[in-house]
Amino acid sequence: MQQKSKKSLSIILGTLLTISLILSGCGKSGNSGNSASNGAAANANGGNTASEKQVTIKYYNWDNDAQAAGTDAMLQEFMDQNPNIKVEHVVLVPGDSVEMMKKLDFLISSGEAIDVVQMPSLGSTIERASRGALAPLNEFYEKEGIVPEDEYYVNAKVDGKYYGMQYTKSINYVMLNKDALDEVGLEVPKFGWTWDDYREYAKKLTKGEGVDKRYGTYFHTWELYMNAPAQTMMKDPFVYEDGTTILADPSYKYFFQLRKDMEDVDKTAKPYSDVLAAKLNYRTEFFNEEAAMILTGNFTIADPGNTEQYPHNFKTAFAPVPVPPAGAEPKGYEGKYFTSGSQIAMGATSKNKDASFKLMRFMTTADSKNRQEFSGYKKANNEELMTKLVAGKEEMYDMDSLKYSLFSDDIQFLGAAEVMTNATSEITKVIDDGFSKFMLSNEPIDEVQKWMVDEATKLIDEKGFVK
Amino acid sequence: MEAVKQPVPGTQREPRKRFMTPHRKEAMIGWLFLAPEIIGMLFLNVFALGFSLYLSLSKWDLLSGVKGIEFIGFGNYAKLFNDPTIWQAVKNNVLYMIMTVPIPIAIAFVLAVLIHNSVFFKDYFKVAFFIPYISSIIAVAAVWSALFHPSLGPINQFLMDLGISAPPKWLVDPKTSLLSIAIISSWASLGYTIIIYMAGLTNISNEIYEAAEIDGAGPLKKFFSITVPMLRSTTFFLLITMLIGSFKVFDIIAYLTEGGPNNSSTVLVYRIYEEGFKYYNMGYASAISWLLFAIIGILTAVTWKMRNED
Repeated sequence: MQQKSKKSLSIILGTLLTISLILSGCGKSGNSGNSASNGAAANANGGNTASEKQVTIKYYNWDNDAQAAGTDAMLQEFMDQNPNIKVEHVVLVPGDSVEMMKKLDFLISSGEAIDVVQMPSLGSTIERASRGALAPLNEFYEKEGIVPEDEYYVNAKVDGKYYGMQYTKSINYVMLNKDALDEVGLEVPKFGWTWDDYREYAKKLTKGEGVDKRYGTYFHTWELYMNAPAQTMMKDPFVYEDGTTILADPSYKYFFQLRKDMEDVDKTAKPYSDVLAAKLNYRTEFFNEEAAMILTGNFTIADPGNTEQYPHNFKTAFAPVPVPPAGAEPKGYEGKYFTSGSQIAMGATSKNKDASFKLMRFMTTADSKNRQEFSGYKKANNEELMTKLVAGKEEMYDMDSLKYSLFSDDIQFLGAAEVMTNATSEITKVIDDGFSKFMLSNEPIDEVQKWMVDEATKLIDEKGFVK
Repeated sequence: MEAVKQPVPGTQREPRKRFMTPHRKEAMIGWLFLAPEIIGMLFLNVFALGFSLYLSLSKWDLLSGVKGIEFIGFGNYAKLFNDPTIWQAVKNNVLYMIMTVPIPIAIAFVLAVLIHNSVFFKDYFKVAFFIPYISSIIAVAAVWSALFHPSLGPINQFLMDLGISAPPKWLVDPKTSLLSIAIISSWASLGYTIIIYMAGLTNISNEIYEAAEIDGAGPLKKFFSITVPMLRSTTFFLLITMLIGSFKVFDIIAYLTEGGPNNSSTVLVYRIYEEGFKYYNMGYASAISWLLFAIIGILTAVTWKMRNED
């Protein structure tokens, strides 16, 4: 008897051990992708069942620590105004919107209920909307009698349905070293100065030789700097309204050649190969006085005043982005600037759509002192925000030119593009490769452009358009 | 996870349970212990393998979920054979293999023999050559990218001082980007190859050398007739592991050049990453994976055959 029970005990123990191992084994393999979502789902359920009225929704984005403080403060304001909605702030990947989108895509494809999410761009919103991952907003707009075109500069629209509300608003401008301008007696440029003028400015602003050389300007590795006119003054940097690729545009030939001339002939810009090789930071290039001018955007407004992170003692002036000279204008040129920004969208799987919509409207329209970036809401007072961003540091700014570059009536903005392709990341690579062929392998511009157009056309045919 | 050795009580038998003979019982418990491992493997390996084969015959963007998988037959493979960047990647893989396998093996062989025979500072050289191998490859790459800087880097400064007016731009030059990466990764893995060879060298008995000396063999004769043949199996081991390793290179390329400029340093694994996780063409990425699988399979088979024929 003694023996027997011992034996069966050992069998039972063995079986238990095996079962638990199997379970943990399975748990491991099934969990690797969506452990976060399990926990999240459990939380959401808990919130729902706790009380009938109280709902919990989640707000996803990619804030870094400083931004998260502002976002949390805004969410708190919202919760104070709506006591029966609890908002949970989920930072998917701090400070990295590209990685954040990857994580979000995995969450969506695993069936997680996504309530409200901040998308880094119009393109990323439309891409997900056309795959059915986002909820259309039309019925909510109609219920409240809202006309989205009157509310936001850019609306994410697919097939006549609205999918995103513009949250932030981007404006490109050129930052100039005011002290360097004064040295050579140059005026701060106004709207209408061309890229040819820019080249002349760069010539005059270049100073010194060798390690101490201050270049006239700096061009970073982004596509923005490979064809600035197309990227700042066209509705979509990939396709024309008729669906053909814009890589055939005359502005490409002009700007590629301009880059090469400034680098080889004038020697007023750091060579592309140096920029590529050293993985330089464009902000420090400007603030360390390696370059006197830089094309950038309103996400850098606070930087000239941030002398702790970017130590410098010159004043920064601002100018609108130069326009293409006659003959190099992009097709359909209107003399208006492209504007975009992040969008706020609702997941198709959200269980609390009404509360989510309320939060989206609050985040995009509320006049909050905790807002950190220019709002894409047409009625928002962005000038006030600018004043707040530079407060206490005004001596580092040429305030008149800053205000002029952002808010003057000369600066007009384009509407949203009506045709977009699904092949944007592939075409981005085509632009990169074409530029490398021209700058690094010295292939003739006409051949390079022909190659770019062929490649892009092939990709557009294959991947089609956002419908 | 290690199977726990448990004494199986099998010596005494219950007359009622005829079916459960001690042997069967033992086998049963054995299978139960193996079950998690086998189920895990079925799930993680065999299923993944089959799924990727199925994906390579379909079109899928990952985001639309499992229901978005659309079967398209051999379209991805047809595209593969007409895609110039794939052939560029294969060519780069082969070039990279030539630059990072036979040449470093030869260099490491000579260095190992030199260090092994030298009496002084043996340990110092061992450590000096091994340090790059234990450093993070990303840190190594960051240092080398500074050395390779086209206008301010020490390498090009030196070349310019020698009077070469237009030295190569190394990592950012389409002509030299792959070579630069091969130099960095060969340098980083040299220590490992040397250590393996030195282990092999200590296994060669001194008596053989002494016997050869008595017969009048010079140092060169000894090297080619004793050292090289005696280290044949070591060389084979290094060859096969480094061959496969060279086809799987990814981290250093992703960090330094992202396959550029203009695809001059792209390789198959980087193309898989690009198609799968930058463009979300999961089907096409799977098809490239199978091409890579076939290439590595053939290479391994060939080297095995060569060895067996010896």
